[in-house]
Amino acid sequence: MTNTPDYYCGLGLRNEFIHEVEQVDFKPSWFEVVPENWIDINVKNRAVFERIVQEFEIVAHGISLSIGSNTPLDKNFLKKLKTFLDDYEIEFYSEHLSFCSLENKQLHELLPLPMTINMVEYICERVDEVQNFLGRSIALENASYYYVPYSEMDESDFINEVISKSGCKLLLDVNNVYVNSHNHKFNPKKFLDKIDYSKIAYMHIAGHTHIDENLIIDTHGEDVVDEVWDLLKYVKDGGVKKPILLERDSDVPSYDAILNEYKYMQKIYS
Amino acid sequence: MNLEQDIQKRFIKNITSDNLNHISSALKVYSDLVYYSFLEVIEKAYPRCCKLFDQKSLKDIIYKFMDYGSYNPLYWRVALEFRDFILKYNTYDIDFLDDLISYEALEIQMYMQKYTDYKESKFDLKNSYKLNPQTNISIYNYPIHNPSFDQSPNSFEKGEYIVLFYFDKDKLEIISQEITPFLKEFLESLDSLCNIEEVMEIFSSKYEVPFEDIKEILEDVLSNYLKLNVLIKA
Repeated sequence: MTNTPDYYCGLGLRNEFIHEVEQVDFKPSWFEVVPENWIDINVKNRAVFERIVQEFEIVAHGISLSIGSNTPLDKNFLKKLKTFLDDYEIEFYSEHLSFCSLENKQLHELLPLPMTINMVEYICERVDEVQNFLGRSIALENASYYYVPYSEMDESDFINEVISKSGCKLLLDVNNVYVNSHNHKFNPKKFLDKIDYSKIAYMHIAGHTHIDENLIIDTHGEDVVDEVWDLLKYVKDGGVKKPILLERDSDVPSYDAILNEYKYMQKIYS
Repeated sequence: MNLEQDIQKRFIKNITSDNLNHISSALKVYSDLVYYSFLEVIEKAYPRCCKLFDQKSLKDIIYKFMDYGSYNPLYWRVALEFRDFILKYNTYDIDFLDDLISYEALEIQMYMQKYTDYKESKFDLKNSYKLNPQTNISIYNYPIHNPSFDQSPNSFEKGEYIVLFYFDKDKLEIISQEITPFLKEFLESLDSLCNIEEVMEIFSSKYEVPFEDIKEILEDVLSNYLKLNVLIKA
């Protein structure tokens, strides 16, 4: 995400509406794709995916790198990932500050890391290894979490330490900040005040699901709520002029409805 | 990192157990998230198999699969890992489960293939053709390819059902079609050494059927298969 216009708005590309992207006149400025969903492509979607990748700027956002897991990085997967990024000339790749596998067993869910000094150092080594392997700089996303397995520092310090020591960029997920602040009872604006905005590569915004007064889940399955839009405005007022992307992963509504939310994002973030 | 590894191991052990009585509500959230991630993949991949089980039984199967282990980061490959798990440990009292899961898994594999688009050519008995390696011929014990099978599976007899799978490039769909043992043998015997007419002659003498009868039965079928890329030039 270099040399992009300020406030550049993008949309997560999903199977559910991929065929509509070409049919509707209004186009998002850029798309983000989850490589795990496109490394091998369903033959129904291959041609349209390849046309979209040629026409739009694309960022890849992974979900199974498992940067914080205890086993060596999956070189077979990394090779496939690099081939995918190279073949489609995708320059930028982001992942999550979390883990999703242990001893090579996949859990297929983003899990919270122990927030320790050792973990910071370990992740820095792994970031270096991934960046060297892929030949690209990467960004890590602040993850949502519902449980803190162990911590020697608070989350903002953990994120800042990883980002500054590893040299990678931050993918700031505004909804995750809100979800975590609600579930762990902290002030999201005070959290954001501690984040080093200069390291942000781009941002995510998404909806979540309200379970009860003490728990909301980062489902990307509902519209973005006003409180999260307000947080985005807060980040913008803090001087951030970085691209932003709208994610929708479950209960995906009509493409028209997604574009309406996208246009709303454009309106308030420009 | 020993401390961190121990913490991570303990965490995963807690959230992947189906005995949730002892864990905190926060861990229960992760237990549910992991379970529903697996459930979503499996329900999407195997809609017909999943309908054979009630919610409780399906949950039990998924926890056993989580314990068995998924090692591939790509979701469609997780579906294949699940098929392997069922084929290895199938203890469920459903005679056709192995067939059905193999059938649904094969459809997934075929949808995920990259297909070569062969140039259309006119069918000619003097040409040599072969079965496109991107097709598949599988044999099942139950007629699970039959659209009405799911409504009353017990009304169908156990037997030998041969199913040809191919990609229809116009419909962008995987088509499955029952074929006879004779057609299977014929298609599998095609190669560059003989042209179609010569293969028909071989079958004519092998089965003591007049050449003209074989030609009448197969010519249109094979010509259509060539159009569909089921057959390609050898």
